[in-house]
Amino acid sequence: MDHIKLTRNKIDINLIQQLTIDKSCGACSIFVGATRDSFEGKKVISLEYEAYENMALKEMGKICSELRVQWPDVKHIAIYHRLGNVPVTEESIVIAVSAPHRKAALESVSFAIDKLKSSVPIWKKEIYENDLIGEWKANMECPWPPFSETSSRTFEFSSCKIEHQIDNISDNKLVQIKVNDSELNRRVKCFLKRKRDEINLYNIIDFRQQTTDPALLESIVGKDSCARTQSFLVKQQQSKGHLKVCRATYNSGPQVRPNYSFQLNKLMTRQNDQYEAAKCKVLRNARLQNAKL
Amino acid sequence: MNMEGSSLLVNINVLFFAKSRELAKTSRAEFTVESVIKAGNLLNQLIDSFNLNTISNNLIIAHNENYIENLDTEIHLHKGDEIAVIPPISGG
Repeated sequence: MDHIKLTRNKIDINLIQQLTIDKSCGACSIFVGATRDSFEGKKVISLEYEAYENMALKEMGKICSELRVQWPDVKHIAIYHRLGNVPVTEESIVIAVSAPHRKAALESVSFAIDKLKSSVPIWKKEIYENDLIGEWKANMECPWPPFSETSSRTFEFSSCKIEHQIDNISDNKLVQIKVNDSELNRRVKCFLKRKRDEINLYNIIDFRQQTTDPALLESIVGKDSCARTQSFLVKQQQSKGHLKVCRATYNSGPQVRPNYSFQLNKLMTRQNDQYEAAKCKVLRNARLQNAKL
Repeated sequence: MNMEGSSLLVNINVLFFAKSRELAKTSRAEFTVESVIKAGNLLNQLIDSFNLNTISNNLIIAHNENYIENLDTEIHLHKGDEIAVIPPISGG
């Protein structure tokens, strides 16, 4: 038989055990959930339990059905949850299961408490010594919201005592960011990405070809130049190729001085042997001859 | 007749629990809404109408005592149906 109850009274564990006694059962496994007096270093002075009662009873019934499917040996099940104000150290929940042998009893009770924590619409509010408004808790087992990374990285208050407590920070330049590690990482990542994108965009803009040549403008209208190279792909006239080669001609610089090629060769052959010099001379001179001086 | 059904309005009962009850300042209210509606849309309307913005990311709803965790689900509401606003649970 299934005994499901929501009660505002103190739970009588012995009574519940009595409900599950059966002459065929050699084992009765009982889980008792009680209330703790501290959370994250804060002292809890009381707990309030609230339930969507009709649905809670319905979900608890579903748990009983599931137990009987997974452990067909199970004889009697009792799930009692307390509502309203529960003083610290008193029981808030008792789950008892009886079965012929202990394996089914032990395993089904364990399953039941886990399932209850993830599916039964009951809420707990903790009231603290220093915070009488209190805080509504959320079970780690609760499947919503989808991303509950907060639960996996909680601060170990028990191993790190709070030495200083500052109530009033007078420095207005300080900004307190109260978010968990994952949120902090997310914000830093977003900032880095945004900055990176900004820099990339400026790189393109800075290196964009600024040209006033109307002919060139026409051909490149709507096209962006590549960052850092200032090059354009322009189709060569009457050619199947796409590359137009532009030769740069400088009207100032050392190459316009008289005897430039002669002087240059003289400088270069000083370090090379005769054979290399001859070879270089031929190549370099050829190129220089083609260049406009 | 337009079978979208979105123009048909129904009167439903909304229940609030835990933090949502404190924010809405009531444990139950009547609400008028389209009879065929996406769960997410209904939830957003409730969030706006009952001051639940601070916990808007953590809520799901239950329709006639059945959880609707997937907010893309389309629900068909009838007069007097019960919708409950469900913050993250903490039983046990």
